[in-house]
Amino acid sequence: MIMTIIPLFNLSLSWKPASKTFRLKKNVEIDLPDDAIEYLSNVYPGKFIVKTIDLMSILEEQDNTELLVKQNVYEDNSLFSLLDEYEEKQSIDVKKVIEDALNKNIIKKEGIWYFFENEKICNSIKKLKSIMEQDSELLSKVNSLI
Amino acid sequence: MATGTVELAAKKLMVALAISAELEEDAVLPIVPVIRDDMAKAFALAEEDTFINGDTTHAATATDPASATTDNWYSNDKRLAFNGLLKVACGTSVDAGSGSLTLAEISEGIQNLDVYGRDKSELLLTVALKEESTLRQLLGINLAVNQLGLTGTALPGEIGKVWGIPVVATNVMRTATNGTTKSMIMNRNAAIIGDRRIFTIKSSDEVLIKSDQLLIVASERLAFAAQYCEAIVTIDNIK
Repeated sequence: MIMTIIPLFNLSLSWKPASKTFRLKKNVEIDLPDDAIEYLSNVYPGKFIVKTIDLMSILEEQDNTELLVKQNVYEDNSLFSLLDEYEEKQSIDVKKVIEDALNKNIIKKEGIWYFFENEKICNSIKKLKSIMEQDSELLSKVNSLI
Repeated sequence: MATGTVELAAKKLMVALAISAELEEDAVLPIVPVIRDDMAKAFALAEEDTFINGDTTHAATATDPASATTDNWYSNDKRLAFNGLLKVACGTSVDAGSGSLTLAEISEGIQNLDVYGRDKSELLLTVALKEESTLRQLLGINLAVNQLGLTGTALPGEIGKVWGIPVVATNVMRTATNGTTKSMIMNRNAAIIGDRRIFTIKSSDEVLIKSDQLLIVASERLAFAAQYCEAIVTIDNIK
């Protein structure tokens, strides 16, 4: 148990056992040695509000806090998964990129062949899609030009 | 510090004493001047007691001085005339924690006087008689000329100076029932004393002519008030 007091008047307490002067201010909570609190309670009855703090309850409170922190961490992990999902949703639609690229002549089609920057990529739209899905660098490059 | 109104209500202190003609005739010394001197001294002590310990609302139902106690004064007690310095003090007090008076506590008291403690020459430290020796041991204070200086002056009753502050030890700083005493550090401008009638002695052998007695009456009308209660700080629970 820890005791603190809230004085109802101003007082300078010269407490010799602690070789210290405690300046008590009205309505301001102060932590004092137990013997000083006992002395003040005897000398100035009714002039202080004595507050007792149960250490065990503080420790329990701390445990709860830790639990809460853990919960938050857990929730943070779930957030990561949510973020991944979001990113997935935001990922590039390869089919749409190919359509846009063809419309804007970024990818050119000559006969059955598809060209990008004058380089032959493949000879069918299905192959082009699979190449673009696998080659993220190519995909992002085309997407950026769109 | 603020401006305000201070009310000075004059109160009369009075003593009447009847002495027989034989007392004066048979005395080796002229007795009337001796009685007058005693009365003057008693008035001075009464004033000091009232100015320090006065309390107009103190319980006072004892019918004579002999049956009076600390908690219940004589119904005509002089201290009922005014609220004294200890009663009106409202500066942040210092509690000595049931220990002896220390310089640190005096220093703290000066600090608690705040603006009123700035000019040390205006301050006065009043201690109980039993603290006089404590202070002498602490500081070796005395009124040697080399400490006061050639132009230095001492207040009546002054036993020395602490950091330039005059110290007065008095018996009217009483010991409480729990064995503790108080000291008081104050700015001397905190209190106002007004004299309506200075100490006056009258004597007559005509009033009590039937009993052949001489009646000596001493009286004084004075007022006392504290204008700055923050300028008075007590150091309590000194043991």
